[in-house]
Amino acid sequence: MRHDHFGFSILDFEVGIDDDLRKEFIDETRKAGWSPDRRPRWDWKSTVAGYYVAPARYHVLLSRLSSSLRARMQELMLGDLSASGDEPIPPQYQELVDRYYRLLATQRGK
Amino acid sequence: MVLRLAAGQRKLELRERVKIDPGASESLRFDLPPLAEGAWRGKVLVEVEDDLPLDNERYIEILAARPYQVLLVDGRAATSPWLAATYFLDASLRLAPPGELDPTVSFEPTQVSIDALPAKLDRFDCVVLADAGNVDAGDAKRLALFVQGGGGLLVFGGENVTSDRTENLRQEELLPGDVVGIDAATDLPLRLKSWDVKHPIFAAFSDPQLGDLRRLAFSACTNVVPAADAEVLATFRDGKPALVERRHGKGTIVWFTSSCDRQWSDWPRSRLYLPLVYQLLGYQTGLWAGGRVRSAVLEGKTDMPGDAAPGIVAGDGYSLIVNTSPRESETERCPADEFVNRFGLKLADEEQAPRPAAVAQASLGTEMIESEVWQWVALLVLAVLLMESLVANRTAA
Repeated sequence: MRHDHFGFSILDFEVGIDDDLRKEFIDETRKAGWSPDRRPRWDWKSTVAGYYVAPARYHVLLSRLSSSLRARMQELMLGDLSASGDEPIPPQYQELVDRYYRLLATQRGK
Repeated sequence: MVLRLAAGQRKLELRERVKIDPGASESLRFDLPPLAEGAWRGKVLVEVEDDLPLDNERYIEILAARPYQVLLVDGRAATSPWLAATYFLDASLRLAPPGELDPTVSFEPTQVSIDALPAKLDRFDCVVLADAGNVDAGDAKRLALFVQGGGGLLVFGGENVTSDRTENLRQEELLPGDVVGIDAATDLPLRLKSWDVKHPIFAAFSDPQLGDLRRLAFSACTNVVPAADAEVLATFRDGKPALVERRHGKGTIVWFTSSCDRQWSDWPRSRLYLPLVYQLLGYQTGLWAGGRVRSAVLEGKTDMPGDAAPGIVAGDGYSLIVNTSPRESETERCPADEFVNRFGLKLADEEQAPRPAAVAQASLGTEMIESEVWQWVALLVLAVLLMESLVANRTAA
């Protein structure tokens, strides 16, 4: 992702990322020199050997952002699958769970 | 073999014969008649006379009792039983239509509404509050006394469990900490992330292949800030407490911060619902600690008092059956300290610290007993052989 486009992308993630984390990240990127109103939007001050260097906090937040997105994607893709009703259960409860389901089925029929 | 049992004035004696070859073992079956309700205590004993009568009998207790009594307190005024907060709890425990009870179940539920708490709670082993806010001050006091006396309290969250509605519970220290409010999942559902795998509640879920609690999804939970003396047993993915335990007198309070019905989750339809509910109740009734009748053997280092002897000891809400170790049937020679450990015995003071050399010799099996004279006989035979070689020398001088 180009940093120039990053500002639009992060604002678009209004759904799916924890709100506090999103705000914290935007604040940090602003401190690092990003502004949606500026052209170019990035005005990083910190350079090492001629390369721009992002603040350390930026890396931590990006990592948390990435984990949050990954969790959301997993939930969307696997959430329904894991709730499919065929969960394994401890063997000592097998018989009881079967009877519980039979009871619910008969109650539903009434 | 004789089986003798007694419950108050009622007595029962059964006899069976068995022939056992040396070194063999045999199972013996006593066909008991239907027993009246109560604790039947007694012994199984071998009718023989020998030098060690201590190991000829074993203490037993048979408890003829109803299942654990669980009071389900419904905090919701539902117009239909299907909408009650305790509907799925009741179904999972009863495993039979309302009014009936499966004869094999471990827990017998009794459903009441929040404003009809029974005057006496001592006949119950555990009280479950389901979405119960606005507990009357008097009821809260009785619940606190119940827990202080050793009863188990299990609380499930819900819309009614808010800070202001739980004030009476807070005053009786029945909350796990501060109830801050309700946290609703905005996008992703709340899922359990971590739990105390060593806690008895989660013992059945130690292998994710046999039940992965992370599959359960909840749309909201009661936001609780745990008290300093409370223990968080499980957390949701965002770190919020999901299960909190707090001791209160002799009993414990366990809070599950989400609901036990379909208000905040679909987990009553999950195959993991019944196992987790049973694990929670098994812990709160003492079933996982050994139940109402527990057994112990006097063997090696035990956590029982030093003067523990075979017999039936009354514990706090249970009976402890103490017997000598079955290892007494091993007839091989062994060092004195191992023998002492085998029976959980205490040696007299002068024998308490056996001499190291003697113990080492004993463990090798080379120690001698006072009646052994074979070494003197061997010495005599050797002397005779030497004499014979001298006397019988016929070579010419």
